[in-house]
This record gives sequence, structure tokens and C-alpha cells, in this order.
Amino acid sequence: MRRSDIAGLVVAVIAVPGGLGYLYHRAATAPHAMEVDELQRIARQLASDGRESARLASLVAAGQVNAYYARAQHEKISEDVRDGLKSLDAPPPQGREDDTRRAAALASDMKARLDQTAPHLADAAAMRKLQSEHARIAADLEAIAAR
Amino acid sequence: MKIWDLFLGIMSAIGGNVDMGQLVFTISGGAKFQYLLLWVVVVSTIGIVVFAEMSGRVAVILKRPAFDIMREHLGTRVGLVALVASIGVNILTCTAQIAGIAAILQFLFGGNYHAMMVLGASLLLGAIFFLKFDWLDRTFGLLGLALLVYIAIAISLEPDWSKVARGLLPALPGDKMPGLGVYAYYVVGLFSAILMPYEVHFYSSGAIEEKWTAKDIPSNFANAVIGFALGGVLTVGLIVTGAQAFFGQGIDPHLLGTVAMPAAMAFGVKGLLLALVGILSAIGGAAAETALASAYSVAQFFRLPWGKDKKLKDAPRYHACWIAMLLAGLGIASTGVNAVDIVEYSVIFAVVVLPFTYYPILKVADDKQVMGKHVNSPVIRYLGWIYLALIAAAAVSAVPLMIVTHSGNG
Repeated sequence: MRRSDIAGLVVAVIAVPGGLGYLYHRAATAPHAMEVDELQRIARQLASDGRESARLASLVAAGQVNAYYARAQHEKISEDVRDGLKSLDAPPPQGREDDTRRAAALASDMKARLDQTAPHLADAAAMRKLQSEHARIAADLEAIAAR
Repeated sequence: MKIWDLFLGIMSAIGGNVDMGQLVFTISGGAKFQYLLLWVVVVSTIGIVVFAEMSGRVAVILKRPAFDIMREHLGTRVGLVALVASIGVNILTCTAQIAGIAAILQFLFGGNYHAMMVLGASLLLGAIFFLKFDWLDRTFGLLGLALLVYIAIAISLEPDWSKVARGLLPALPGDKMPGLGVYAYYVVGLFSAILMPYEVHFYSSGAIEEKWTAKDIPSNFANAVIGFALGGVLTVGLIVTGAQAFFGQGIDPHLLGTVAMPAAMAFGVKGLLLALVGILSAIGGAAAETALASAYSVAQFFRLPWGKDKKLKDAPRYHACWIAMLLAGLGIASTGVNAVDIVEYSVIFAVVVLPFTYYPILKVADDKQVMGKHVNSPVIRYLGWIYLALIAAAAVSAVPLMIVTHSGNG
């Protein structure tokens, strides 16, 4: 038997049962509560979306981005917030039910504001308001992530 | 090779050396670890210079490209596994680049995302089909020079240069940074992003496409050293930009549009447009390179006729292969996957394929009987083996790190 064949056999012996074991574990998983670090990760990601949309709003207000970028990037942040919200729609970690609910409420609020941004892109005052509101939401989400 | 061709080759190497994987890992790495990843750029750039020059030299002397040599040295079965793995990584990379092209076209011209995806893929297909090999390489590479705006952004955002200099030496992450696992994930990711295997397949095939001879070996050396080294300077600029714009701000730049945002912060609309054009060219060029690299790999492995400038009827399966790659990328991208997520997977899986690409090249370049006076010098030989050890370590740790760190999210 050649060395390359032995190496291939060793890889197959390790990888195939390992892969099948992982797939079985995934398929047979019973409903379970979210881990605390998962909640923290989602909250951190949503806070990042909040900080980013606040930054974007300030750039729009200052006339530093083109119209298509402003619109498309707001949409993409909104899609990201939607994905985060979907991840929060799971059994919350024990003792962190309120934090999970609060994170979901903040994310819903942020998404609603992002979805209503397009008509106000030419309104600098509205953009500054969005900037401060999203900065506040981001700070609240960061507090949840830090707990 | 004329001086003008050499100049264009070097310029194209600078602009064409950055792809979406590098954009993502550099800006995001700067945002998370400030300047701590700069040493990885230095180490990886030396690695890509060593192996790109070596693969070009081997291709010139043997008149045989990388995958042909891989098959001979790895055997047919292991070679086939490497081929399938490379194509899998290339499909992921191509998918990410096509999704990225659509996003950038949308930032520039508005319109529907899916329509922009089809437009982007069609333009790419037309460019690959109609442009001769050297002009395809140069067009994307020269337009990619617009990315140099990131060096200007890095300077204009006034970094602490003493801290930047300290980043050139390895150090552990500080208090306000993610932990050691995430740091290791970014080290491996950035290393892999700079040493992506398709770049070497494309580079060595290009040497044969452009009919380099032994007389071109000094130009090959200059092209690899100057082009990739200056490309490394651009990569440093991207990390510093990421650090200045996002570090400590609570922003994780995981959307492609966020990568362009620092340009708007520094130079307003004009800077943003320049950055978007640079990103579009870089990822457009990378999409073309991955599609062609797959076609080269398949044709070279099965010893079929190949060549970008060959007519359809003279190399039908080669041409069918790159068209199929683009269509596969378009198909997967149209499902709405996040380009940045896909590019992270492609970069991490690419590192697993890296040893299969670089080991055969090193073996051949070290063989005096085959290479004659163009055999590796002792310095290059030692560097080559040191890098192969680093690549093997990265290959073993990449996937576990991705799982443990939730793709670098801690």
C-alpha cells in the first residue's frame, strides 16, 4: 500500500465517523434553551448594527455618501437586524428571559426605524435623530451583551 | 519582456492582489485587534512572494503549470481529492465575489440586487470571453489600483504610527479585544486570504499563457517581489483603516458596504466612489481568476487542451469549465447568501487545500535535475520549507478555530 493510500485511509477513518456523529448529534437535538454566550453574541451583533446605522445616518446627514449607497446599506443593515431577531426567537437562557425579550424589542424598534429611513434620506434633521436613537438602542444592547 | 510590460505587470499585481477575503479579514481584523495583525501581513506577503515566484519559475522551465505538477507528485487519487477540494473552494470564492459585485453595483447605480447580480455575472462573462489574457489581467489589476485610496484613508485618519510599527511584531491581544481564540482565527484567516491557492494556479498558468521563457525569469522575480510587496503595503493600509475607523467603536464590519464606509468618513462621496470602484475591480478580477483557475486545474489535471486565448472549438471543456464556475457562483449567490459569510468559509477551507498546492511546487523547484541552474537557492529552499510547515499548522487549526470561535464572533 502506498503512503498516499494510507494517509487517505487514516483521513477516512477519522473523518467519516466524526462527520456522521456530528450529523446525528445535530439531527437528534431536542428543543433546548439558548446558551447565555449565544444571547450575548446576538446582542453584540445587533448593537454593532445599531452603531453602524448611527454612523451611516451621520454620514448621510453630512452629505458624505451617495444616494444609492445610503439606501442600499440601510437595507442591508435592516436585513442583518432581521436575521438577529430571528435568532432571538428561541427559548431564552434561564434567568435571562427579560434580557432576551428586551433585546428583541430593541431590535424590532431598530428594524422598524431602518425600514422607514428611505423617504427621509434627504432630511438631515431626521438623519441626526435616527443617529441618536440608534446610538441609544446600541448602548442598551451593549449593556445586555455585557451582563 | 519589455519594461512597459513589466511595469504593467507590477501595477496589475498590486491592484489585482487584493480580493474579498483580504478586504473582509483586514478591515474586520483592524476593527477587532487594532494593529495587532500587521505582522501577519508581513509574514504572509513574504510567503506569497516566495511561492508565486517559485511557481512562475517552475512553469517557465518545465513549461508545465501547477496542477500538472501536483498530479505527478501527489498521485492520481490524492491529486483528484486536491482537485475536488480546490474546485469546491473556488466555487465558494466565486459565489462570494459575484454576490459582492452585485452589492457594489447596487451601491453605485441602485437597482434590484438580483438584477445587479445577473448584470455583474454577464459583464464578467463578457470580459473573460472577449479580452485577451494579458488585458483581462491588466484591466482588473489597473482599475484595482483605485484601492490605493485606502492608504490615503489610513494616513488621513491619523493613526498612532509608533503603535502601527509595534503591530509589525507579534503580540497578544489586549484588554478591550476579543480573546486568544478569535485572535488565532484571524491570524489563520488573514494568512490564508493572502496565500489563496487560486492565485498560484492563476499565476503559474499565466506564465505559460504569456509564453514566458527563461529570459523572463528576472521579470518573474521582479513581478512577484515588487507587485506582491506593494500589494502587502495596501493590505497594511486596509488594516490601519479598519483600526482607525472601527476599533473600540462597537462596530463589527461584517457587511461589504461597511468596508467602504471609512472612505466616506475620510473623503466624502468622491472617496466612497473611488473605494467602491476599487473594490468592484478587485472582486471582479478575483471572480475571473477563480473561474479561470478552476478551468486551468481541471484541464491540466486531465491533460486536456487549455488556454484563455484558445478558441472555443480548440479547448471546449476548458471554456465550458470556467463558464460553469461562473454559473454555479451566480446560482448559489442568487439564493441570497451573505457574501461576507461565504468568503469567510472559502478562506478558511482554502487553508486546508494550501499544502496540496504548495508542496509539489516546492519539491519540483528544489530538484536540481529538473530545474538545472534555476533550482531554488538555499535561502528560498529554507524559506519554502518553513512556510510549508506554517501552512500545514494553519491547515490543521483552521476548521477547529472556525467552529470554536463561531467564525471569529467569540
